[in-house]
Amino acid sequence: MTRSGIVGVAVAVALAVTSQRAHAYPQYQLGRDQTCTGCHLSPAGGGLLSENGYNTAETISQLGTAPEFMYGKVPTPSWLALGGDLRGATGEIWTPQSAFALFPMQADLYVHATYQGFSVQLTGGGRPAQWIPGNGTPGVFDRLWSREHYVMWQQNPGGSEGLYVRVGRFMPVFGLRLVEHPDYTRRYGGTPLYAETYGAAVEYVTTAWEAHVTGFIEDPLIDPVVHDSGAAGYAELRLSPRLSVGGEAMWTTSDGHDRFRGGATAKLYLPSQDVLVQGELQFVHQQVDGSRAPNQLVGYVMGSKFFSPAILLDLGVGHYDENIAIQGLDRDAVDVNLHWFLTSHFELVWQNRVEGIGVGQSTGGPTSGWTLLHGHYRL
Amino acid sequence: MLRLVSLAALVAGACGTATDDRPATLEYITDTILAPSCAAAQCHSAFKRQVGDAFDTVASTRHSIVANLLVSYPGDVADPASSYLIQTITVGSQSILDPSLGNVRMPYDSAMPDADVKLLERWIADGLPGAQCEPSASQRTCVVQSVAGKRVYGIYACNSDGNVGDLVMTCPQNPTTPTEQLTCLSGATDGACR
Repeated sequence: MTRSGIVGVAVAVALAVTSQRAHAYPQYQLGRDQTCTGCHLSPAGGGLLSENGYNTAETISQLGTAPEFMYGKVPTPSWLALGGDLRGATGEIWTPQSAFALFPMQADLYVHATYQGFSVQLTGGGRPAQWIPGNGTPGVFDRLWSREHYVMWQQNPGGSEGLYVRVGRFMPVFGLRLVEHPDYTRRYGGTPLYAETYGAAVEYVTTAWEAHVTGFIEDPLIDPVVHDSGAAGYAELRLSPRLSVGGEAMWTTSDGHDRFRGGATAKLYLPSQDVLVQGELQFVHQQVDGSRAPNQLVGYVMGSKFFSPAILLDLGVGHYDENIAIQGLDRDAVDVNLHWFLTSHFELVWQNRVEGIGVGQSTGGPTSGWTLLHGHYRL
Repeated sequence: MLRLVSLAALVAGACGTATDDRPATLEYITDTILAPSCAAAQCHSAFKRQVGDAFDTVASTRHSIVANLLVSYPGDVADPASSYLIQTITVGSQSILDPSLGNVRMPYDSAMPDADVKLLERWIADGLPGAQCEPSASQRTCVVQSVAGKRVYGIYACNSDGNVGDLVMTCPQNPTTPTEQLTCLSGATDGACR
């Protein structure tokens, strides 16, 4: 294989598998804090950290280091928050062909400006350029975009509870919001990679419960990944500091394809073991071109064990049945991800997956999987 | 743990029937197979349109199949497994990004169930309804038909539903070589079918 060949397949394969946005780590919820807003500025979690988020980043890291933006060497006024995420990965993928992968994953910068209860959030960075006929080379501006940009009003400025209203481009809040987009409840569960779109959300977050309602439309400005318009709702009730349950519903329509998702989530933290178990199960009803209604099942259960403040092991099991009426169309995955938070800014993740189709049935498909090492640097 | 996973998989998968009665239509295979399997963000979505193919909508699937010859109508109808689409998802086809890589199998990040491949083959064997041609401004397409053992090359109407319609113009001769076919096209149309 030539060097250019290796690079070509690396980019094509690996971007398909592991690119991601900087979601929050729901593995920390209950065990480290009750809400996403306890550590993040966004009511959905992910992206820029709050003061408490910085403290958590420092506490869980092996070597510590100043957790602030650029190690605190670039001071910002109180009304302005800056940040960014850089990711890259390498490894091997079998689907079932074997392919070596080496690639960039993410390069995003965040700006969050606040004036009293109002704030503006902007995420700008790189994107996979659209294919140019003839295998041409995209220009610089073909590789840049803003994945998120919205205006937000917050009832309690600077706080982590209360009412939030957002208008702009963002990911509808739905389900567990796991960081790895290949996890089934993300990939097949209504929030795949780059599913951010324009919409409006009303959200309420307290320690005891939270609720998010989002209305959204297909992005009219670019060729989007997801063409849906619709509405999504997610609510989570924390029955105790160690146990929460949630409910979710999403309705979307696009090009004669209507889809309804309904499901539930649960999180249980076992302090004696420092283990968080969380799961999500969705039932999906589709109306395809008016004639048939293939029903689906999407589920994911993850157990997360903290072996030390800096080492986190995730064991996840996913199930996706693309049509529950027919055998051999369901797939199951076992994920094992090992996180090492070396400093408050740098993380290494060893990701592994084995996936089977129609496991234990007379018909199925090839077994596939991957093992990847990816590095994540937070500015 | 593995026993629990296997048991859960068996229970979850055992609910369905072995009979696959799914409709072999372009709409169905796009929305339930091609879009979720192939139209991931950096692959064959409208966002990325890798190697010129997109499968996230019915219209984009039709365009990819017709314009990029993923399935040739009516040539592949008799033998769907030999079509470029089926070859690509079963044994692989030569990489477009870098031909030196040899055969590349799709989907790249997660394999496709055998039953889905069979449904795609059934759709092709049925005449790939909805993606036989792509309606152009002149509502025409160019098709090689086999009639009574002879190749008949002509200009056909392409209906708005993506199916080949009535014969508009037969070439004065039955061309058998690319040169003759090109000559026929140039003489028979204003080029709108290409």
